Amino acid sequence: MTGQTSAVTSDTLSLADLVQLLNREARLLDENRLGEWLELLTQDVTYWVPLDPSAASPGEHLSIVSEDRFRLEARVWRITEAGVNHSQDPPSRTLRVVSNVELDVTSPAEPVARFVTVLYETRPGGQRQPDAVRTYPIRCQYRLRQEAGQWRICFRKMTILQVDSDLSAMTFLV
Amino acid sequence: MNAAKSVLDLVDLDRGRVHMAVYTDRDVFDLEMRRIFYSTWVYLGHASEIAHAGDYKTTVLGRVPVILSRDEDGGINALVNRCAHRGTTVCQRELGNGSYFRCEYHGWVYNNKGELTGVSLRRGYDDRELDPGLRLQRIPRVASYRGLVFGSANPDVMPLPDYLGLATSYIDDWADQTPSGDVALRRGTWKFTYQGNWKLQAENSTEGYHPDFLHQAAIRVQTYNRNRSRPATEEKARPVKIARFDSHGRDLGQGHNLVETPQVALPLKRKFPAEFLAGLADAYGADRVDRLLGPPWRLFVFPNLGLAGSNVRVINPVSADRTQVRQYYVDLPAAPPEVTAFRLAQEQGFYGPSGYGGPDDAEMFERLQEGFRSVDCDVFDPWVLFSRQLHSEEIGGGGERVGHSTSEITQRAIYRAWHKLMGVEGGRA
Repeated sequence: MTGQTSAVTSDTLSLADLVQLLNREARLLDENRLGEWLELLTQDVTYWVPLDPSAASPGEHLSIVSEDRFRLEARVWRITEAGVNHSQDPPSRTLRVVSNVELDVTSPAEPVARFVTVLYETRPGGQRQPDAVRTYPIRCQYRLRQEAGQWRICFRKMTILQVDSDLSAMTFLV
Repeated sequence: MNAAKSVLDLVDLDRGRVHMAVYTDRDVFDLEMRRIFYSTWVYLGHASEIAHAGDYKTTVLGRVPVILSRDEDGGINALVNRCAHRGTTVCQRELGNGSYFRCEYHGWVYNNKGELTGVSLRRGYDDRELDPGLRLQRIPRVASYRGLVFGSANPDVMPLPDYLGLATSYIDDWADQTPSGDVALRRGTWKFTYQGNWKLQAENSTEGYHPDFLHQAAIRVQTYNRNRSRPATEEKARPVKIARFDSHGRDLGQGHNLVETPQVALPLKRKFPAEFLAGLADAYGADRVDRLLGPPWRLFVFPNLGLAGSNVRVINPVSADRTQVRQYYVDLPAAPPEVTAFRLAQEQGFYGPSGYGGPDDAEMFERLQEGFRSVDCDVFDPWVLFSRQLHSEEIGGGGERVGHSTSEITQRAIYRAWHKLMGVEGGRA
């Protein structure tokens, strides 16, 4: 079904709408507009950044992040309101490039998006040594669902390419 | 730092202070490798990582690449991962299973005991050209205690139980966390490298002074979550103050030390079902159960092992200002799934690249190493202070020094051992 967007009804997610949503999500995260970003997620969202790239589901193995909405709201609160976040002082600047988007509408009510995000991250200097730009190529798998009249993300799995190597702090939102 | 005497002057135990050169000086680092990492016992791995015949893992002893293998006779071999021919590493994977290691450069083959079993085009060598003793070199001493495998490059090192000393009873508690006595390093390993000296992670592993301050974000998030889960009518939770707990730091001798914070283990204790607790009481006696759950402490075994209920932290020095850390999740195979889920959530909530605690510690290690650059100019005070409650240390039941968990007794324990070992000429006591 991938790419067949011309004849879909408004109840079916189109590739164009999906790309629009993914690009918007990337921009909200890069601009640190995390409250608006939370609006893109369903109430029952699962947010998963696996540590083991072969893990079938969160829970059997350590994950970098494996959170429901309650925990995710705390993560956003920590970044925006907790007032202390040492590994984000100075804060990371990020830039995400979204590409290779595929849409699978086999289950029209809960379509699956597969795509690639290349996340660039750096922390501006100051007293620290000049910082390099770290690159995190990420294979992404989302499931989406309509909630309150809008397509929102209900499952968000981000598999980082170098996940079994040494990783620096990722205390920004992946 | 050219003479051994001046190296010893870098640690001023009488005033509880350490010269910054111990973190920055390349000659000090090289001497630490010889007199500490290549002369005492160093943690290499856990038996559960190489449980079956043919299993192996790769690691390091100091900076030396090592293969830890389980041979077909059930023995544990610690071998230098270096072909006897030219020096190529012969094993590439972090973990695996195989009876042979093959050097892919010229095709020499070794069994998992390290014996050279095949030389390519052998007829091209005459007898004078190949020493019959060629093999993967053994780490001179290998010994295990309760599944923890240690190696030493020093053939004359003291027996492992003597070395571990007062730490052994805590290791016993750690190994007895389940009724069957099974713990396994599996379900995930955190890996990171920081731009800082290895001792910064060593000092931090059992330091009870910093959590209320450095980990304020983790404490605030915990309080935030508790208050969101409570009915609005209920009284608001307030952030915990770890420093107010009745808790201790202990200098267990030979650099080993411990910080006890029993209250921190309480939420975990409540998760264990009654039958699991009954199983522990049956196996080890009711009086030991409280010591086994959690357990309520974090132990540091000098020079490279941090041990806690749900993680094993290994510190690998790379250079004076670069260190690799491996932190293995400790699985309790007998624990019910809800306990495992809770332990995993706790571990990944605090540690890992997106955890609420670990990244802040690593951030401090790099800020410390930045601050140490002031040692470059001798106009400035070069001392780092570990003097907190130096003069109120007491003596505990095992003859060990005891202080409050927020004292710097655990850091002084490290430098007492450092000072002793760095003073041994030749590094081979």
